[in-house]
Amino acid sequence: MLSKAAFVLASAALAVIVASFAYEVVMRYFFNAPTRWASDLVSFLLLSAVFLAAPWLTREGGHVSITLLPDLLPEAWSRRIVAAGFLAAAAVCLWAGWIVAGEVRILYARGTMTLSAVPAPKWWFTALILFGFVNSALYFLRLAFGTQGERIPSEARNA
Amino acid sequence: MGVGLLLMLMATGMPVFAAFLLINLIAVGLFIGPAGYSMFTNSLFETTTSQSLVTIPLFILMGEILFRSNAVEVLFRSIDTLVWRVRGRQYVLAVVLATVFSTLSGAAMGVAAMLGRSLLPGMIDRGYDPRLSAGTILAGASLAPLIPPSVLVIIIGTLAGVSIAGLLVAGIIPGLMFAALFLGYIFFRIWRNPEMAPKNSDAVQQVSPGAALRAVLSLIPFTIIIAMVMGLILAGIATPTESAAMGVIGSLATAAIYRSLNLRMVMQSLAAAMKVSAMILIIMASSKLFSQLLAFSGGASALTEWVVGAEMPTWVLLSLMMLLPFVLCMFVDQIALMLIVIPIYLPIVAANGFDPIWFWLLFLVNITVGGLTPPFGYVLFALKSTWREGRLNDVYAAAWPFVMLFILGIVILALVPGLATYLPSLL
Amino acid sequence: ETLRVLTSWDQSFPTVSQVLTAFTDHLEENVEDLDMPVSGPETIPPFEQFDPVSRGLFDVLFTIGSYHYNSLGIGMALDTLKGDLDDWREAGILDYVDQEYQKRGMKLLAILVDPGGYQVVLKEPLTGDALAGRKIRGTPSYHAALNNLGASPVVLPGSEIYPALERGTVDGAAWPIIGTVAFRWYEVADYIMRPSFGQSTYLVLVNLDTWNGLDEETRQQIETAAHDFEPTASDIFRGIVDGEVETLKENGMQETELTEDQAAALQQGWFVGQMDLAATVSPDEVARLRELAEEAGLTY
Ligand code: NA
Ligand code: NA
Repeated sequence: MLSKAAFVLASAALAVIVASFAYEVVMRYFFNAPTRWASDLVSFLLLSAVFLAAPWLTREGGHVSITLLPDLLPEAWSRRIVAAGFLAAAAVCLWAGWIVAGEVRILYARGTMTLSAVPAPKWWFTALILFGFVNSALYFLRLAFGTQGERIPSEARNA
Repeated sequence: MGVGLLLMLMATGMPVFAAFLLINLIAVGLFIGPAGYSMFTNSLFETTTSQSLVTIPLFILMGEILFRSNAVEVLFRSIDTLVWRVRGRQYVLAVVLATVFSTLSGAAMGVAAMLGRSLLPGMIDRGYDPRLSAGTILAGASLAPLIPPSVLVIIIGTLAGVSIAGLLVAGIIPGLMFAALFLGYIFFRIWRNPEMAPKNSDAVQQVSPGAALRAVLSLIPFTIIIAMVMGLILAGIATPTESAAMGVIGSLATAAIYRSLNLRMVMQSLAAAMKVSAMILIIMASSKLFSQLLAFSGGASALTEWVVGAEMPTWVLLSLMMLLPFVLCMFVDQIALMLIVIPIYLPIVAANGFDPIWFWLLFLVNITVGGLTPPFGYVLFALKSTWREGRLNDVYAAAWPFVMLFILGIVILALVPGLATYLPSLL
Repeated sequence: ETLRVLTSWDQSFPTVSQVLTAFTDHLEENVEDLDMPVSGPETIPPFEQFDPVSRGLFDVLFTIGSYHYNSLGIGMALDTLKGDLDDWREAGILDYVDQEYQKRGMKLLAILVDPGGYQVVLKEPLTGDALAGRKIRGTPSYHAALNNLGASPVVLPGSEIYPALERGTVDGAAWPIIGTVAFRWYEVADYIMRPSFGQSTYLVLVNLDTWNGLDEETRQQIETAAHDFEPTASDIFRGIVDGEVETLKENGMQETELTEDQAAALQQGWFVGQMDLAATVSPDEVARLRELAEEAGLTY
């Protein structure tokens, strides 16, 4: 549910990116009044969108993978290998999340701001990265131990 | 060694981004320790806030809207009507469109994903060969950095001290030559195996002047997008990045003209574009540290110094100098690679009397093809993210012939420098 | 002893290829067994370098204050001051700046000043009303200065300046004088605005743990050598700036002059804008720095 909401936010962020650029172009060209914020806002929206969307993408089995080995092996083995891959992915995401969490704490404690025309606390964005990794890790675990054996989300099901 | 491990991990079917992350975290843990943790977090932050990458979701969004708005279907039908005699016309369309949109974008990934979403399904539906269709799109998209505007050209010009204007002009004839090579190959394949390009399924055999006129008219809305993006760049109203957003608005206008614009369609397009963009960008973000670590360890510089350090005939030297970025670019971010390699190459280019424009154009083509070369090329991942039915192995198979054509083209350029240097000499 | 140096620019910038290289050569010559290998932005991007160096990933950082003003703003505030290094040292400014950097894990080893400072590159010559109605690309540092001349500041990524100038998306761009040649903006713009303004202060910062881990004698040798080099650096910078301006003129660029009043407004705007920006993140530190500078008459 949380992931779905985050994904909807990510899609909205993409819409705001389009709107910000359009606003900047119109204001600059027609009114000679460029904004101070459009350029940075777009950058931060891109980061937010990517990591907000990541958990839902994982849930849907949507990440790109190279299924060279699983394709060559018999069904049962292929399933085990893919599950092991998901387990490893979960571990990596947790590891990454743990590291990023440490950075969030440091940035928060120092009150580090972003280097942008309109500054914002940098930990906001690293916290979003944390959200993306930890939630993805949980979904990878679910995929690895998924009860629904036939539901191995192959890349063919990308939406 | 890292590369070998990476290949192994990926072959098991582990998500590509997780494999990159794992390698990077192991390397940080082994060689740097906690001091490298901020480097890791910052590499994610830096990549996903980089404005040049914003064009990727914007182009994909454009593709989604066009796909859902029936615009692509109209385009296909118009082409069928207008040039029904030409067998394999949709391949030609793919090359032409990829080239046109490459003009609009500096990012091959964005173009590949956009056409993968909008054009590819239609071609496959019509019975065109999926691999040849996908390969055509990949190849056309890879012309993006050759045709202005191009961030890569600006960076090469800055780092190598060659004329940016000259380098951009120098890309024109080679770009056309590559397009001709692709078309030649496509027609050769069709000639060998007519099955690759279906005859008219709609059985249009005679076209009345009225129908032809209607076909031309129905193309007009589509050109709005091209005008929106290219026109705004040329008129200096929008930067290349901003114009991608204006292209999205243009595609909404197109959808409105085709009477398929509604909130539901827009929401669906946003969601689909976001999904694909996140797939691509998360791979880029996770792999970024790989380039930084390679630079940090000094390994890439040492390799480059070693390659160009030995005594050898000029043509061997030139081949090696091209082979190195080609191979490295499969794993490493193009910009990071240029920062490492170009300073080392500069004195050697001068010492050997290579024409700078010619040499750096070859270099540019090389690093572009690196992004198209299996197994790691980012452009391949971008196309795969949009091609639901295709496996990555299909994408690889689609790419190889065109990688070979690119290499052939590079050899031609190397042997006939005039192809690159003639136009700049007129400046 | 090996001190790994990280710089914010690549070798195509004379700031690195000429000034930093001369600096490391000078130290290696004058300090026994010292080796200073240099890495560039391909290892860590420019705006993210302060933190990893303060945590020991590299030993030395060569950068400017505005690239890390989110960590500490007073390095950047130095760009606005009157006078030279000796005046600043005498006013107690340098000791104070060093002290603040040390609180953040860095020792201020040297300041290499480029007296040439900053300029605005223009597509069209000035016509008397300064930059009224023109769109000029600039980071927030320049905004107050540009506003003072009637321009509309535009925020764009560095890599988009060339095409933006080429197509007239912007009418000009503000940047240090050094860099206009490397970025080849002379291919797409014809004028450089005069007078130039401000000065660029490049900082050489050393990781504090690394510094404290060196023996007393080595520290002494390094400090003396670095200090000795500071005037040389400014001479090299002057040479580079003269050379670059000459190159620009050979490629068809012409100077276009502000009036005296406009020039004063520009200088004033630069001072206020840069100081205010520095103060957004480090209000107390910048206030103290301003106080010291005002007492010594070094402010605009
Ligand atoms: Na392009
Ligand atoms: Na690459």
